[in-house]
Amino acid sequence: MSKRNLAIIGIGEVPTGTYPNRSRWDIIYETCMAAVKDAGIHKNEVEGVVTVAPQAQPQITAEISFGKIPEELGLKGCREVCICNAGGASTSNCLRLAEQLINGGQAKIVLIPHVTVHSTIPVPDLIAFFAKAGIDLQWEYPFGNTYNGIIAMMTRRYMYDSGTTEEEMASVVVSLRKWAALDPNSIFYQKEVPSVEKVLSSGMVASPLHKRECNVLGDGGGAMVVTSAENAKKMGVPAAYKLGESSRYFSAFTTTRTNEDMMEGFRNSTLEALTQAGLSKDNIDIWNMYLAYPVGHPMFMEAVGICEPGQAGKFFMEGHTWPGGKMPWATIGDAIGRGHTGSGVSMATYIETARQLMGKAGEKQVPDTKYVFQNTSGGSGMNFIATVWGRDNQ
Amino acid sequence: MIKNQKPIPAMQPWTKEFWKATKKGKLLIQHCQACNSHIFFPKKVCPECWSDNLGWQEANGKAKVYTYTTMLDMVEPIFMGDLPYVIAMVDLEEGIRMTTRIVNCNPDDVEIGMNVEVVFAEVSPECSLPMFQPTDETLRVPLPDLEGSE
Repeated sequence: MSKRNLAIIGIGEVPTGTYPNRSRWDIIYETCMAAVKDAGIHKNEVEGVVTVAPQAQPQITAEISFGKIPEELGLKGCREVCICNAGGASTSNCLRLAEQLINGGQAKIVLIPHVTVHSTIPVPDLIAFFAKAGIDLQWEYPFGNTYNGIIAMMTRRYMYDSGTTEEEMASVVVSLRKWAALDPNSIFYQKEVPSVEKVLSSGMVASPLHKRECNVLGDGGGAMVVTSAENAKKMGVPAAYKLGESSRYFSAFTTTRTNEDMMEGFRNSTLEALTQAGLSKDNIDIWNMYLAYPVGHPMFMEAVGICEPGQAGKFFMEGHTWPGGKMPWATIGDAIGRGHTGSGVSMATYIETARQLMGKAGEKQVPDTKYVFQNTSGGSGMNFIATVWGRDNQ
Repeated sequence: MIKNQKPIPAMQPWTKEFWKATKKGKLLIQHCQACNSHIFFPKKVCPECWSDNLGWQEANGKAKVYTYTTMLDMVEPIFMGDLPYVIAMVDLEEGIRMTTRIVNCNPDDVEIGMNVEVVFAEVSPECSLPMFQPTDETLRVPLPDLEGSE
């Protein structure tokens, strides 16, 4: 029996893309109703709603913060409502809050929604938001830095330290896009997967980052229904059981942390989460990584010892992480492949973790998936939350 | 509001000293008198020991490039006129790391480990930002200063 006591029993999602006519409330209705239906419960069995805070969308954030979702959806059994913001790490924290409500006896079943619509936000507002998110307004922003700029600097230093080539970095994008092409909820579903050459021939945005190594903003949303592990078992429904978790905080800004600090945190939190689950890295069937840009992927691989230092780029180049490869990796294609929905990529990644463990992943189902490792990170990479999920509670 | 005004650093009461000094062409490092740490970003109390006995030391202005990026696209409209420009993290000899710009240099000549020295670029009559140029004079290219750019 795991020390943790949480299971995802229902998932609902809408395709990510540019849909200015699909309102935020359309998405909330659609995803929440789908997740409740998928869990096989009645809406009034939902006793708590813990929502992932949308980013750069103050009006919907205020409405959700002040309790509109249970009222709008007619969740007559709801006793608890709150919103949680830790940037891209929000969904991990929503799951933790749900776990606490469930284990404290406040709620048997909790609904966790997320919604983002970028396409109706004026472009100058979007640029301004992403130029200041995770970027210090005194010591970084006035120099003309951007989110792409801070990641570009991290990427440059990683490539310098590890000897990773630009072709190897581009091969991370190729791998992510191969998964995205199979994912009906991706902005790149059924789109041609670019070759390494094509990634490198896209314009340079902030050297060494090319356009195809940066994220495309999208609209999207998802919802999960969670309950205790015992209850999930009793219900006899397909479920993803949380088996282990650990985390590290680094710093709010990239200027005040090093790649070495991050890699040490990746390694320690991952090891602790695996140990709590009673597993080793060799037991993991899917590494479902959410790192937002290519650079975090080889850094993580080397940090946890999947590859020797400096070898992760080659590992991506050789195709081991592709669909059908020996190490399925980021099976929605991370933010690069899915389309960036603010704090929503963490939701999409958890939904994918659950989908694979429930055996509902369709064309991209990894056969006989027993264990999935999944992380989230927030802000400019302020933290790393490592989680391990299993098909069975053990 | 001056037209095309670049963003001014969002100062705190305890960082005003730093920005007063850059206006006079000096780069200061916050220093804890209690535990002897250098502090960056400057704080209200020392992040190591929570002492409020803090002072300032003048840096010699010499640094090495730790990492950098040449910004070429997708920046805020106010910075578009500066493209291309180089953002870098530099390690000061005193042991702190700052984000800055590398100026007076062809972006293709910038590399990790390059020696640079501080210069001050005025962004408003009240504020100058510490930026860095190559120490090697043969690498310096005079570029229009920030005020002259649109």
